[in-house]
Amino acid sequence: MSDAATADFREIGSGHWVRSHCQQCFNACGIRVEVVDGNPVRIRGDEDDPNTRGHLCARGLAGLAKFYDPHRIRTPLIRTNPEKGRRVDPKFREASWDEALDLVADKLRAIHADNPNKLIASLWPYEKYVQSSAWGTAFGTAKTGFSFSGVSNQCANPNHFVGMITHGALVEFPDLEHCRYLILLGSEYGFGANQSFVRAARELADAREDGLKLVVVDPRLSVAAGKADEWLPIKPATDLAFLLGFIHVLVHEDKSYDAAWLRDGTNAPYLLGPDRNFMNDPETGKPLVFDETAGRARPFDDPDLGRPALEGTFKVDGVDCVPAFQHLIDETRDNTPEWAETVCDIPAATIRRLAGEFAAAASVGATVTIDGTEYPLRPACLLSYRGLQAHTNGTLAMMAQETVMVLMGALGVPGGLIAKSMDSRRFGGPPELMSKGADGIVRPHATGWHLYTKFSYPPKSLELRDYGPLACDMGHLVPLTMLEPEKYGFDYTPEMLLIYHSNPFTNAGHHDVVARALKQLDLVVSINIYLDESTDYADVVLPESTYLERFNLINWTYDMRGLQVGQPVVDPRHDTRDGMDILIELADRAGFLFGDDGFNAALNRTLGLSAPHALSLERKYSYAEVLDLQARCHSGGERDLAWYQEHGNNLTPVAPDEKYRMYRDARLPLYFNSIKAAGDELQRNLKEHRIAERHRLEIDTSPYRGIPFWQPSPVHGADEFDFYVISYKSYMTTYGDTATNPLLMALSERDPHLMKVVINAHTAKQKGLRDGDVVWVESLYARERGVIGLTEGIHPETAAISGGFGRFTRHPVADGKGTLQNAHLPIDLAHTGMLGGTMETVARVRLVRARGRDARAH
Amino acid sequence: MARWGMVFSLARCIGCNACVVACKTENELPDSIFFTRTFVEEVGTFPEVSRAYVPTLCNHCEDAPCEKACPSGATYTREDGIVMVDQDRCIGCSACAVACPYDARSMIEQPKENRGLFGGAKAPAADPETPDRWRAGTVVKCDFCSRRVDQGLSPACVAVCPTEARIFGDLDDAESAPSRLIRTRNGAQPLPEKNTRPKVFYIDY
Repeated sequence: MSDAATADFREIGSGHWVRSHCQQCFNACGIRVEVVDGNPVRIRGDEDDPNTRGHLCARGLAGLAKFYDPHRIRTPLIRTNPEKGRRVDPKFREASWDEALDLVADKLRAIHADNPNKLIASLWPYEKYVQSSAWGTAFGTAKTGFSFSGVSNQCANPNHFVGMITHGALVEFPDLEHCRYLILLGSEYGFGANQSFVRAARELADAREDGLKLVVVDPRLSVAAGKADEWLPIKPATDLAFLLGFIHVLVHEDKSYDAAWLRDGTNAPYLLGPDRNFMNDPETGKPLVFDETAGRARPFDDPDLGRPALEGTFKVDGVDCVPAFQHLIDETRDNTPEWAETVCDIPAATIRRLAGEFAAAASVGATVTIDGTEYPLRPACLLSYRGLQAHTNGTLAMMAQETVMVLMGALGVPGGLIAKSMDSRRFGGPPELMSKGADGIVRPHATGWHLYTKFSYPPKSLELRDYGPLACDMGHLVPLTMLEPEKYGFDYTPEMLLIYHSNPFTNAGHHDVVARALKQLDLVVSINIYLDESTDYADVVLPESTYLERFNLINWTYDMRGLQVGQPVVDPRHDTRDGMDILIELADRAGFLFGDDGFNAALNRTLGLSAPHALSLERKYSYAEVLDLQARCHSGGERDLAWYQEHGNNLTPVAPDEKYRMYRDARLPLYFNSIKAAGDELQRNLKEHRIAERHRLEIDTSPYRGIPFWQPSPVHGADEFDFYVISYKSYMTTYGDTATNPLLMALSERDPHLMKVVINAHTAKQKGLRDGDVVWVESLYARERGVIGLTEGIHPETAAISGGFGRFTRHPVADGKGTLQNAHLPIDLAHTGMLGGTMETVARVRLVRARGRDARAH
Repeated sequence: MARWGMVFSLARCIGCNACVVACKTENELPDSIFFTRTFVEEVGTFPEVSRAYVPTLCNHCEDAPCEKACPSGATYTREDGIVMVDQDRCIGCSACAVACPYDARSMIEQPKENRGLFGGAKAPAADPETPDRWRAGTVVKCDFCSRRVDQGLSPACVAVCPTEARIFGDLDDAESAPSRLIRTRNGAQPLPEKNTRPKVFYIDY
């Protein structure tokens, strides 16, 4: 028993407490780590983090296991066995940093001189992905950031792209302080995975206690669904149909929408010509609206404008045209709830009732005054994530979500969805208002983001962004295109892959494709903490320090300013380095650290560093020195890195007018004209360069419409595979990374479902399957063993497998536990939504009972 | 002197297991020992299904059957109501485990050598102050993180809980958070028919 009589957090044991932030997912929760005799012994939440208030999740609390893991890589490694393959021992030999770095830098230099695109820079250290992406940009490769495999399987890509063009939202957060009705679609917001879990869990629990109604649309009884007021078991990859039915009720049946807002705050009154592009005023070039008062068309911002029409058909200069809102009405006429029911399995009456409840909760016309400013009050949110979006039709589904929110005027206002902007707040800068184009429509911030890829032929990007200009990320296509570059029009073959905090095997699809691609490369380099499935194919492994031994400086909140530090709580235990220091070292040795195009210059641009706190273009810095300049620059010289090391963070809430309506008087799109325009341009380019004839490549440009419409997923079709298999993120895992943690694995194995292939109990009875049966999960692409778990809580045609497990790695804690879902996902264009950059994450499988020796449990 | 107790909000608990990991790391528990657990139960049939999460720990009963059953005096109640186990006096007879209607007591069976996150390659002792914290052959349980409580802190499971589903405080103080919740939201004790008078209460919302 401690003698300490007073209450001081720092006196629990006998050590000292170091502040930092967790890096076991991207949310950067404040932590304190107790260090005794140079050993970290305990992690707790930092109660001075205003975001989390000292709370922390299971993963964060279990983080010491990563530090003490005896299977960590302790020194640079170089392969001696030329044969590469699954579970083939690379026979690594230990090497010095100099030897390993020079080997990598020599290849980098050769590629840089030849064609930088021959390097695939697969960089996905999520807490600093923008900074690491800058390394690839400085090198000059078109494939940088995210991963070789892509986050297209892990993430909700359309969320970023559609959210940004709609209201500048990289990510959306429900304003739970005011929200009273929340529909989650394929999202565990506030229940496990997703953004800002620790804070969202508290806020959502508070809101539910205060009477918020929670409805969850998900094929599986997720944690959220299990706690919701209502769960709607939807057929996988049909959320789009549900939302189209929802929109139909709002605009056709109930006529529930914020008409005044649509007229003044959106592009809903803009006139569309027969080509479905805006009719522009010949004089000013500005989009026209039809002035009902004057009985003629006028530019949208004409000071004499009366009431612009939302509905009707008009003739302007002899051309037939309709307001964008009328176009939405026309396009959704057939999307009745009865139609939606046949597609998504949610009863028409339920869709009708929910749309009515939602619209009533949105309380169009209501206002609230906060700090002297009056805002619209719209306490109703639709919020989706990967479950709705990670499908070929996911971008259209996300557009449908935003269409509902725009109809209600519920974006960026109290009670609605708030945008986390890509402004410089992430690096410590102030919140910045969004700008607007000459067409009056909002333009998002996109610092360090890639919103639009210019067409080029031959293409540059191995993920085919040249043919998918709006795609957020299609990294999963890289293994496909690099195996047959000519087929897709490339005039080069990649030679080298640098993997930094990613594991293609556990986050891509079809393993044969990934394995063949990895084998084909001349040099595969991995910056890693452990050996994993992918390092079996690596030539050089550079050992990274764990998050308890390295620096970071970030603001991951959506409504605070300031920064939060990540710092070494002890010196590196082994001969490891901060991954960013490894990148700096490689840039130096390969000759692209300095000068106007070097990595230093790229970091200056990305972090918004300016004199006197910018990096010199001719000096080498440690990453800690870079962060020190970042801290100084964004505080006007007031704070340095040491200040953050002592205090942890200076996060403070932004003022209400820096949180709400950051688009101010810019209009939000009800009609996604930029998507339509990008599609038109893509079509022209594809035609001009005869891509279809030359390469027999049919790039589908049909989804590039301004209004969402129903498009089935390729998995919707009857065949001999009778289950849709979905994957989900559990509260115990961050991708596959946490499967090496014995504390978390011990708990995961006690969970009734996490290690199993979970199916509906009634379906199981029909198929003769029982709880605990060992089965083969079979698809066209893989055959993986699994154990059946039964539940009442899943759509009858669906099997659910938790992500993060099913590892086949030499790490004994992770190896062979659970089942891997994504091996069943094909890597091809048919299963890729090229509009927003999505991979179809549902697969068709059958479950076949294993026999004999195979039937024994793992 | 306070009389410590806890309230669980069943509506707020989402089964995230942060409490369990906090407890395991705070108390350096061997693999198989849990001082707090969250039970999950599916309720209903498709499609009318929901899920209940029920967190549990030692109820620190006013009338603790484990204390009564203990022949060696190892189990005792502190003045502030925390039911403790003195490992020096515990003879490992398991009478307490049999007597406890809540299954809250566990025998440390593993020899200490087998402890550690990675089997043989165990992490350094998480707390050098108490190197012999858990002795094989003793029957142990949650002590409301008495060491933290003595420092004026709440138990680790309470401090970390993301949804604040665990509310800890002085039951003798009518205005403490748990007292108010018990009063206004009909706090219910587990297995009241056992007449153990738990200091842990459950509220539905």
